[in-house]
Amino acid sequence: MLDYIFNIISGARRLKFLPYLVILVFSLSNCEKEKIATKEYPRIKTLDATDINEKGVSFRAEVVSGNVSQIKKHGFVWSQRDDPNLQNSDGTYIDELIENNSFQTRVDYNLVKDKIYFFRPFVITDNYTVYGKSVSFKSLGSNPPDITDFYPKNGKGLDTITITGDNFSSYAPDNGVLLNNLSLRLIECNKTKLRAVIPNNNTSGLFQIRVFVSYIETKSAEYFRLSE
Amino acid sequence: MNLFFRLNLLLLFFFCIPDLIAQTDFRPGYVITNENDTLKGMIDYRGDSRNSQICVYKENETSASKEYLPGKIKGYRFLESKYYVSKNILVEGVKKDLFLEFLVNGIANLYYYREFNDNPHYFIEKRDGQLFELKNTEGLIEKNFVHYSHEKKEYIGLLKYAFADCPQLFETIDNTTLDTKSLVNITKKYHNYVCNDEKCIIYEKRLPVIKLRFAPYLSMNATSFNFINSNHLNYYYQEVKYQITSYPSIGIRMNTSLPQTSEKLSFQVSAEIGRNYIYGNGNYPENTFNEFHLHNTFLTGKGGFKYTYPTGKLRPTMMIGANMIMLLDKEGKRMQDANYNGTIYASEYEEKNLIADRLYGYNLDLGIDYHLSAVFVPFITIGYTSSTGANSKPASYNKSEPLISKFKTLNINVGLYF
Repeated sequence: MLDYIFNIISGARRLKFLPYLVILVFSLSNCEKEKIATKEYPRIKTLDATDINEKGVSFRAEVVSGNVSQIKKHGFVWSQRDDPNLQNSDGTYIDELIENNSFQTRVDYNLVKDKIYFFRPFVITDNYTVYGKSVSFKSLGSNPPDITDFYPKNGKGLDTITITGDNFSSYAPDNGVLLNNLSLRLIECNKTKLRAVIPNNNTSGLFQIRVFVSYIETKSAEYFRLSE
Repeated sequence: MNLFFRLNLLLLFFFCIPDLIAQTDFRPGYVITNENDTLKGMIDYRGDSRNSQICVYKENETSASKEYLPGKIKGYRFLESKYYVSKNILVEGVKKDLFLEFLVNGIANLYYYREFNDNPHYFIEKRDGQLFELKNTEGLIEKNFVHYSHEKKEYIGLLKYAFADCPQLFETIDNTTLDTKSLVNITKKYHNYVCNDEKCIIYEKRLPVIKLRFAPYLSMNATSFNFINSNHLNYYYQEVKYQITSYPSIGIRMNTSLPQTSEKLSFQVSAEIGRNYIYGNGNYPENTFNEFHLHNTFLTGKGGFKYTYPTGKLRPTMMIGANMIMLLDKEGKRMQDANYNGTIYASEYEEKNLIADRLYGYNLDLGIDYHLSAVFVPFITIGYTSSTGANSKPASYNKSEPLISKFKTLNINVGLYF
C-alpha cells in the first residue's frame, strides 16, 4: 500500500506545471469579447463618467453595432431621475462627428454638488432615436449660470424678456426666472438663451433679473425697469 | 423521460457493461498437448478466473479458435507471461479439473487459481508429486461462554510438512502470509536451500492488485445551452436562442484498475475546471429585444467505467459515466432594447443567478490510448456530456416553477497518463 502512496506523491510532483496550465486556460477563456447582435438601428454603449470634479463631468459612449454614417445627431442627456431622455432632462448635442465609433463631451453646468445623476448617450437616425443604458455618478458640482445681457431693458406685464448667457438648462423645469418676487413663465430655453414672459401684475420699479438653474442662482448686473 | 428513469437506464447499462464488452484478447502463446506436443499460436487472455477454466487457442489471427478444457491438454502458456497447467484438485470435497497458474517451478512447485468473486487458492506440490491446498480457514474458540473467531492458518503446518527437509526455514514459514508474494518467496528460498544446481523458475512477475494512473489533460469544448422549460414562463427568458459556445478547460484524471481481475476494465474519475461564456438573444415581449451574457466558472467531476482494448500500441477506449457540474462563479446580465415607436431605450439588468448551481448528467467518451512506453501513455478522447439542473430562485424571476438549465457538450481531450 505504501508503494501506491509513494506513486501518488511522485505523480503529484509531476503535476507542478498544472497551475500554469490553469492560468493559460483561464486567460484563453477571458479573451473572448462579449457578443452583440446587429440591429437595424445603431446600438450604443454607455461608458462610465470620468473626470468628475467641481467643474463638471465627462461623458463617453461607443457605437457598438450599426452604421455610424446613418447617425444624424448625437449627444448626452442627464438628470437626477434614472431614465433621462430628451423630453424629461437636460441634454447636449455634440457637433463633432463620431470618430473611431466613439463620442464624448464635457458637461460643466446644471450639476448640483453631492447629488446622484444619471446620464445616457443618444443617437438619432432617420427612423430611430436610440438611447444607451442609463449610468449613475455622484456630482461634485459645476459652473453656475451666467447672465451676460437681457433685452428689452424695460417692460410691463405680458412682455417677453430674452436673457442671454451661459450654463442655462435646455430642460425648462430646471430653470427659474424671477423679477422681484414675480415668477416668469419660460417659453424657450437652451444653454445660452432664455425667453420668459412677465406675468400680469401691478408692480413697478427697478429689479435685477434672477435666474436659477437647479437651484443655483445668479443675478443680472443691470436692472430691468418694470412698469405697471 | 424523467431523471429517475434515465438514472435507472444508466445503472442498468453499468451493470451490463462487463458482458457487453467481454471480448477476446488473443496473445502469443502455446498449448502443450497430453502427448507433449507444442502447438504455437494465439491464446485468449482473460482474467484469472476464466483462464483457470478454459483455454481458447487458435493457430493464427485468421484461423478458427478451438477450446480446450482442463485435462484435455497438459497446459498452456502465454509467451513470457503466465503459464497454466492442468491439475485434478479437490475443491470443497469435489474432484475437479482446473488450469492452475504455475507460479514457481522448482524442487517444490507453487500453483494458484481464483474463482470469480472468490478468494485466491494456492497449492504446493511436493517433490514426490503430492498436491496440498494452502488454506487459512476461520475457527471459533469458546472461552468463558464467549465465542471468538480466529484464523487457523493451516497453510503454516502444510508448508512445514512440504519443506520438512529444510527446518532452517520454519521460522520464516511462521511469518509467511497467504498471498502470492510471500508464498513465492518461501518456495524460492526452499529451492535455493535444497538445490544448488539450478535455479527455480518464477513464471511471471505478478500484476499489482491495484493500479493507479494520473493524467492531466486539456479539453476543448463546444457547449449548447438552453432553459428547457422557459418557453411557457411568459418572461424574458422566453424565445431566447443561445449560441453554441466554445472554450478550453483543464483537468486531471485518476484511473483505477485491478489488473489481476481485469486489464481492460477500470474506474476513472476526473476533475475539470474552466470558464465559459454563453450568449443568447430573443424578442419577448414583441417590442423588446433581450440579450443574455452569462459567464460561468465551473468545476466538473466525472466518474465512470472505462474499457480499454488490451493489446497493441494504439488501444481504443470507451468510457461511460455520470457527471456533476458545479458553477463556482456566475456572472450574468440581460441587456434589453425596448422599442417604443422608434425610440429605443437600452437598459441592463443583472442576471447573476440564472443557471442552476449544480447540474447532473451522464457522459460518454470514445478515444485512443497510445502506449508509448510502460510509463507514459498519451491519449485523445472525444466525449459527449449532458447535464441538467434546476434553479428555483433566479434573479428577477419570481415564478413558482424552477428554471431548468441544460448543458450539452461535445469535447476533445488530449492528455498523458503516467
